[in-house]
Amino acid sequence: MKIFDEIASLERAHDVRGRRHTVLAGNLANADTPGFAPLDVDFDAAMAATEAAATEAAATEAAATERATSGTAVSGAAERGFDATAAAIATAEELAGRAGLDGNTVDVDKTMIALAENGLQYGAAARAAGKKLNILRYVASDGLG
Amino acid sequence: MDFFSALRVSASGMAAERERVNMASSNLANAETTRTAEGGPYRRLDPVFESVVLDEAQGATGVEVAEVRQGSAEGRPVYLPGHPDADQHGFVRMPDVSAVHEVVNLLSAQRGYEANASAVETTKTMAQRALDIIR
Repeated sequence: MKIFDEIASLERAHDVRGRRHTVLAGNLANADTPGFAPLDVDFDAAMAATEAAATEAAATEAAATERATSGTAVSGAAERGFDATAAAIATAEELAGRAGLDGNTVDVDKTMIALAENGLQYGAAARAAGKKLNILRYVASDGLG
Repeated sequence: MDFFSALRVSASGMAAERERVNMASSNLANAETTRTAEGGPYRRLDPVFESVVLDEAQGATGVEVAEVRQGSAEGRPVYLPGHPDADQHGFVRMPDVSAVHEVVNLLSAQRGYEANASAVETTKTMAQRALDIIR
């Protein structure tokens, strides 16, 4: 539905932020693992990938609706969106510091800052989605809610 | 998203750091131990961390203690002629434990533990924010 389109994009942002959080937490857990290089999710690339996957899903769905009772199964394009996010996980130079004697390049300070920033962005997306839903609720209750 | 995989990652980090604290404490406690079950002086313990993929799709990379390295069985000879474990030349084989090394290890493990604990705190805040959408 049209009115849910903006919430859908916030939802995708939420998903990517959530994954980035897991990846950054992994860096902190491996701050003392010999030879470990920090990983990160490229937010823009991941968003573009999930957006493309979602568009593809919508197209598939529209085609399926046209064929109505043809019984063609809708492919899991949403899952491909998740795969797209997974593909955007790569070693991150900007989170790396000087390698110690054990070859570990995780910079705990940089990672903590990225983690905090990502958490705030996640909260902002959540807030925005909440506000959107509130607007819909207001309209749905004839402006009385 | 799956908050639990983020929590599992942080939990694995905290568990590994705690194990490191345990081993550093054992090393300090046994810095002067000359008798062990397997004979000879105490051998210092050193955990080796290894990253482990907990959930490929979520990008969840945890950590585990892959192996425990032991210090030399020979220890370092210290001249203590009155000691009951001294050899005929008066040397006692003491553990190869360096107090400075262990204390630095303890501090580093503590910092690592704290970093993981604050990641857990952030995860909880994010989960709360997500729940607030439906309020």
